[in-house]
Amino acid sequence: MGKKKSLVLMVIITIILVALTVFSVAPSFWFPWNDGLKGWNSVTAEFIDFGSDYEGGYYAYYYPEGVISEAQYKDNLESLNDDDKAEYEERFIRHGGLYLDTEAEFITEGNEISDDFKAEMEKFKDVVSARYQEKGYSQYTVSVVDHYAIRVEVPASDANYADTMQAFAQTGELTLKLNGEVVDELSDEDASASELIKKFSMGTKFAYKFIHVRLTKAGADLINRLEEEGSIVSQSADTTYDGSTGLWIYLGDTPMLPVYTENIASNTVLKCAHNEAEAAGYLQTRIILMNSALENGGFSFSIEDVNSEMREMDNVYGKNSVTAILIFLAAVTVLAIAVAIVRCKRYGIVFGYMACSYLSIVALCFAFITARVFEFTLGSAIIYVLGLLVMLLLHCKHYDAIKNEVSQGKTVNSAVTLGYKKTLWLTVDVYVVLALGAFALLIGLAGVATLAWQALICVAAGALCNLLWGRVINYTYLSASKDKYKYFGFVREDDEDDE
Amino acid sequence: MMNKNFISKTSPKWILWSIITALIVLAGIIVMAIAGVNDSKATASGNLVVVNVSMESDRYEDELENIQAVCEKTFEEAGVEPVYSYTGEISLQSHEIVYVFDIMDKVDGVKDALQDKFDAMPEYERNFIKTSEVTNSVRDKLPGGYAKFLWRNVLAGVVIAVAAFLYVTLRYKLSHGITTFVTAGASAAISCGLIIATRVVITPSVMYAVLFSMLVSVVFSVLFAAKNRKAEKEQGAITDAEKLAETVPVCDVVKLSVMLGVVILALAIVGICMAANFAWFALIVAFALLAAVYGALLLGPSVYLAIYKKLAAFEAKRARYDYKKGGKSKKAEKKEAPAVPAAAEESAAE
Repeated sequence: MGKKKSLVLMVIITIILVALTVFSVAPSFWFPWNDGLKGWNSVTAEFIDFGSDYEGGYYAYYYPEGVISEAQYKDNLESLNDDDKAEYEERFIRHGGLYLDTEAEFITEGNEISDDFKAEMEKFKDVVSARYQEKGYSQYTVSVVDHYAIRVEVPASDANYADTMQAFAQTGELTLKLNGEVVDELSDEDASASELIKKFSMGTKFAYKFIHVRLTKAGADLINRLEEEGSIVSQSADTTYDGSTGLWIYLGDTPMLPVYTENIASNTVLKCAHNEAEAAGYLQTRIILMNSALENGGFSFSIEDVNSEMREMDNVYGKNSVTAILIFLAAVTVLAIAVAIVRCKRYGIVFGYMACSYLSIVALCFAFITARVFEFTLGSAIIYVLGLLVMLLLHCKHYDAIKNEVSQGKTVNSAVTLGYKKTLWLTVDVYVVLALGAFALLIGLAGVATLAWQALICVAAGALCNLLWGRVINYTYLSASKDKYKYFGFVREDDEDDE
Repeated sequence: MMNKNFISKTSPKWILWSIITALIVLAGIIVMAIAGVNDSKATASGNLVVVNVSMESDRYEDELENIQAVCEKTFEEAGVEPVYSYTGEISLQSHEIVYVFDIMDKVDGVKDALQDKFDAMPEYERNFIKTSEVTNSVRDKLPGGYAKFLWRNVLAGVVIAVAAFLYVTLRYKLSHGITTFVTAGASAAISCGLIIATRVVITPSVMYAVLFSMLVSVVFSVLFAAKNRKAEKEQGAITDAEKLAETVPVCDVVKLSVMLGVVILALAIVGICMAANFAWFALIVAFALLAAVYGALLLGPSVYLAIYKKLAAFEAKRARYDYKKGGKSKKAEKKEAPAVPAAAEESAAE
């Protein structure tokens, strides 16, 4: 390649890479114009989900009807006059930090908590845990507060936290209602929706998601009968959309899913509630909830106003932890480039290009590769660093191999080719074992499974840079170089003799 | 050169390194049996004292430190210390400060004392500061609970070691494959042993560090296998410790470890200055790196040498066995057999 051509190419690559790096990881700032209302956010700042360790999260309390917190009790008490106060105090019995309403159904005549309620609460705790588990958070907490309340905590990365927390608090039984009345097949007390519906799952068609409802034989018969009777209406006929028209799947008293004539896909499958892919989280929450209700049935109590019990919490690592970890990663990247330049001279600058490419690829993939909960943890930081340093180590090994070839009297160009050739299999081996390791991490749960995807991205980006991109950059940069020996920091034997 | 001498002296002592590995793991087991793991307080159950504050956000931000000071002074007077605390925001008018105490701490009296103090403070007369207390027992923090989280991640670790073993065996040889498996497993075990024995706070991040140790260890093993094969191509089979020492990639291991060490140190400094938990994580990763380096420089070469010798002896024995049985010579005879009659036929024809 000619010097001018390679110089132009290097300038273009540099501009693209700088732009890409800025786009991916440059810090956020506000523009001085527009009264500081508009600003710049990089991909890292905008799209990467930092876990609750970094960005805090949300928590909420689930109080069954008839159970209130001590703060609520005191609040209510203070708002009453003296006569009512005494009555109110008599009405509630204290249990740890909770207050139980003696007028609630689960309190027996002797002011004891009924065994049925105790058993139901035990089951409800397991059901709530299972719902949050199914949602796929890498970090969440479900804890029990003084036996009769539940505290849940989710990371800030869940943008639909309020919807999730409210939905998973539902205790109603799954039923099918036609024009607001339970269908004949479920009118018996012992009848359950699981006799009609096998399961709910997510379906995808083009850019849309929908809920797949798999019916049992009895369910298919019900749909056939209602279709023949003309009881199932079309979507356009349901003007109220409140569950009172046509066939609806209900959870307790809440209409969850309409079944229109357009939704009947086959004898045993319904395709309901289309939604844009961006709102997949909303549908996923409904699917988890309805499957949970299908499997576990309903509960005799309901959960009081979850909205007022939601709180936002700070991160556990301190307020500046995101800034701290980003500064740390930036410093490590700069340090690695500096080490490469000191050791490999201008061949180290090639590593600078590789490191910026690695950084951009990793940041973009972390941000966009998956729409699932994909949180950046301390493990992610250390995997990024490991990938970067393995890349540096192999880059130095390439340099040593080139140096070795030159010392044996080869020309720089042939030394570069031979150097790469001799270290090719070592590079492949290192990345293959790392990729195998990253694949194995997919078996892990929670943060480890997330880490596996991040490790795969780091390994793939590192391999691409070491095996291909680095060679391209080196070829272009070397072509633009006047003195190829100086480029690598080698001293020609002739020069030594001259000295 | 000193490094090579050192490795040549240490590599025949595989029993010693195995015992040291076992002792570190044993120390972890003993400490765990006696004192349990130092579970993260953030993941543990506890008694919660909740201070609900009804105040406009602006004023709350100004008053937060004062309110916290009152709480801390009261706790100090009562002789109890919260394990950690966090603040929550319910709405712009309503906030709460949550103090988490050890499950054994009796905080009911403390909560009442705190309430009395706030009630007696005229500056908060028009605000609603109420204290309450609950017992919080963590039921589920990770998918499937801790047991499932642990065994699935342990399984992932085992698969890393097995996959690396298979690849290195196919690309290099069995003795390197076994060495890779042993050092990866030992790195994980030593990391766990050190973390548990030193009573470092256990968080889910520990799992990242242990798996990091395994990944670093397999990289070191590949570097060793590659260098060893190159040397064997030039010098023939390497069976003595001195020659083996020259094939251990001390320089590469040290380079990568120093760079990672600097990074860990930087993380610790960031942790000390800005976010304390980073420092704990840095310590855990330092243990993991130490375990990987130990595996690469001490345990790995010694295990390789021992296995290589065993396999070579086994091969020799098998060869001798085959020779006695005459299997090999018979096969050779069979191969050569058609040539003899053919040659005889040719000579007869002539």
